[in-house]
Amino acid sequence: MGGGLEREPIIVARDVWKIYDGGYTALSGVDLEIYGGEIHVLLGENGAGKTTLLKILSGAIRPSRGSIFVRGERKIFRSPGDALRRGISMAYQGSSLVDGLTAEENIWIVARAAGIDRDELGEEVISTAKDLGYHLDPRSRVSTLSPAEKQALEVSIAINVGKLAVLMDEPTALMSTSSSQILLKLLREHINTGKTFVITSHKIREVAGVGDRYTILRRGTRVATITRRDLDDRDIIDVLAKHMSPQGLETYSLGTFGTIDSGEEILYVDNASIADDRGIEILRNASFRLRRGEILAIVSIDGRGVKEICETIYGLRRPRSGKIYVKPGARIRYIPSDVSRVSILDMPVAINISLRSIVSGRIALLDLEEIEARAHRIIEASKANIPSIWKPLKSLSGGNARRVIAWREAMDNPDLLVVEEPTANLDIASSQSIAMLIRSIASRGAGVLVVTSELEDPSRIGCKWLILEDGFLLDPSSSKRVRVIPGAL
Amino acid sequence: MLARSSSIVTGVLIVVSAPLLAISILSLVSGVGVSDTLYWVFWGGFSPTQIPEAMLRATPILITSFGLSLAYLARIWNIGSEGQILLGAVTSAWIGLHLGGLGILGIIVSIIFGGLCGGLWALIPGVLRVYRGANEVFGTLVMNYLALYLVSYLLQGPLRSPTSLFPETALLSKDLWVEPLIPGTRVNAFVLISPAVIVPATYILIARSTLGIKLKVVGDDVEKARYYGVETGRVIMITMFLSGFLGGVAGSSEVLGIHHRALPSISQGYGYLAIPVAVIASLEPRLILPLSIYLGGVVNGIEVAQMNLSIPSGVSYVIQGVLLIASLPMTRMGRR
Repeated sequence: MGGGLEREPIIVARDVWKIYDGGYTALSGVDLEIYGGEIHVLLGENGAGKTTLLKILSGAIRPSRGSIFVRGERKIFRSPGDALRRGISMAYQGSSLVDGLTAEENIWIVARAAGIDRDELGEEVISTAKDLGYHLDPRSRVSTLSPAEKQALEVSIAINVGKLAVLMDEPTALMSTSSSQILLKLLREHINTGKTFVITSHKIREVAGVGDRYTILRRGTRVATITRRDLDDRDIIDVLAKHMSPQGLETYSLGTFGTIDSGEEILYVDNASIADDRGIEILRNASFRLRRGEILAIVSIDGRGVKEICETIYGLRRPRSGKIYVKPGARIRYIPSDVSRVSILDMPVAINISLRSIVSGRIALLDLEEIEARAHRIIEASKANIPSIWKPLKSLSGGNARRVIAWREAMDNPDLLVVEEPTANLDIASSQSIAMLIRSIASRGAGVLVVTSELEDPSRIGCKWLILEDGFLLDPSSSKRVRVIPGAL
Repeated sequence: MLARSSSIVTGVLIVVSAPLLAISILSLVSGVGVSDTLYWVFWGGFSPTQIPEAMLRATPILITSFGLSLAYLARIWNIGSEGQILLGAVTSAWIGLHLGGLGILGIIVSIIFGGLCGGLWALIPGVLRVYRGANEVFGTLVMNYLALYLVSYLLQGPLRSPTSLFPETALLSKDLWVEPLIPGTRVNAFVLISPAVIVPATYILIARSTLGIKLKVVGDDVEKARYYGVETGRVIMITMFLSGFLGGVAGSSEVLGIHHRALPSISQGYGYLAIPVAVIASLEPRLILPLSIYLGGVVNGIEVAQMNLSIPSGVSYVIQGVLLIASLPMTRMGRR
């Protein structure tokens, strides 16, 4: 710990809960103490609640329950501007900059909200960005900047405007590796001027040498807060890794369920690169094969690229380069993570179950008997709790709606089944039954590709898996450097 | 479900009250008692003797809104029906002038050509939308003005009857006239056949067929449609053509059943009046007939009121404009 640490924490969160409008619980009773002059790293998987917690501390959203104390005074910020005036700034993961304005104008907006001199701030920000390796023209429009430059600008603004504390959500996510390292060094220099930093990350290795203290979040609760003291980088990695994934993922079983020996190849991805909507490559030169009866999981550590990979295999997107071969005539079905993307929420459950045949067939009168029969078949198999098949789909709970759509897709005799985030936001029972479904579909001779951000999914399903990190696919069983905690390094 | 039914109720309230509100304000402005005006509007629209005329005016609204309701279900906003009606009418008359003596066959051919012309006219903005990404609202709206001037040119020039004082075509041969079926009224076969066909067809297609759901998927989200393998572009062009075709047929029905020639005032803004009707019918198809008759009656009633009171003659345009503006928020209805 640095010598300048204060005894009293400057920011304290007590029993903070956040339940979003849809009913999703992002935080359930989190405590956190931030001391003046420290670099505090929030670690956790995708969905652990890191971003939500930062947003609450910065006034972007309000907690559903719980208290925040700033310098001992109970304080829940009403807006980011409110927090800024108290010297707490935040750099968001997605850019919070105004695209249509210039870099300079964006700086002025923040200066005004924080009540500080705009020209002075402008100079500081441009100079910080320069330190990071980004030469920004203050008069260039934000929309013309690259994602990395935008993040550098946003981070530079936050560093210079937050007199008390600077909160940064995945500050290095879009920057180059060298800039990321500079940034983390830069934080250390700023600490000496009396600032405090709270940053989130999912990359243990990257932040191992950075933090004074680490808080590990898991599914909306605090697992542990670890003080660095005299642990060296290797030790801290081990300690953090153990806490981040209690079972240590040693329990995952390699190999597949069902018959894999004689399965014909159903999917062959050959040196494919896939870009997201912003043009950032989320998969680079990846090659893998999938045979009938096989299950393969791709685990994206930061959750990036999950949807894009699924959509590309299903055929909704084209790879930027490389080839994706699906056996000709193969029937592909796709279970997305978000039911609303593939259903009409205000139409009855039964219609949604038959939507594929209704929409792709000839124009005809609705065969209500068949629709009803199919609905009962799917619902019975899925064990979803459906009060009436003629009620709109949106009247179901999220878990039940997902079951219905998952079983609808899986029971359509696919040759290739693509499953996106099989267990996201599901309770343990539902997660297990989805895992069972995947295994049984594979044992019936389908190839199943699971793409997920949940580290535990491969062990839950019991399948081979690959790690997706920084766009590259890694094999956890053959790579030595990922031995401690596969995926997090 | 609740959201849907409450938007239907709101929509109906808007369609019912907007014209009455507009005409009340206009009569206040022109110094006429509101109660007098409303009396004449209702008498002219809905008294027993006037019901046949209301039905007569409801017919083109009904035919047009049938096609539009299918397009609107897919959230394809054809608002160019007025132009499609006008061109359908002129084409129908022009072809009809060459079909004298063919009787019922001539009538059918004339209707089909009217429909084809309306359909092709609507297809232009449809194609521009699919292949060039041009917003179909602007496309169809601009095509209205093109149609208006084109029709005006045709009726003043090449198609103008040499014997007429007005810019209009010659009268069709008598055997192409769709004559009134009820003596003493102008109620012709179009007035009786269209509801008999369109009312069940709208209901079945929208609420009971796979087409309704397919259109709804397209209207919901292009990505969703792609997930199910629907070719959105094809759906857009087909519904555009179909809604334009029915607009053309509506224009044709006015030519064959009422005026027996094409003239510039052949559509009393039916293409605009059909828009709010179609928006609501796409949510609740059973309302297509009552709303068409209501607006037909109001249009007729306003004309009667104009004749009896000193209300400015442009009032029907104001009503069309008010209804069109009122339809805009309704296009968001029944959606999340």
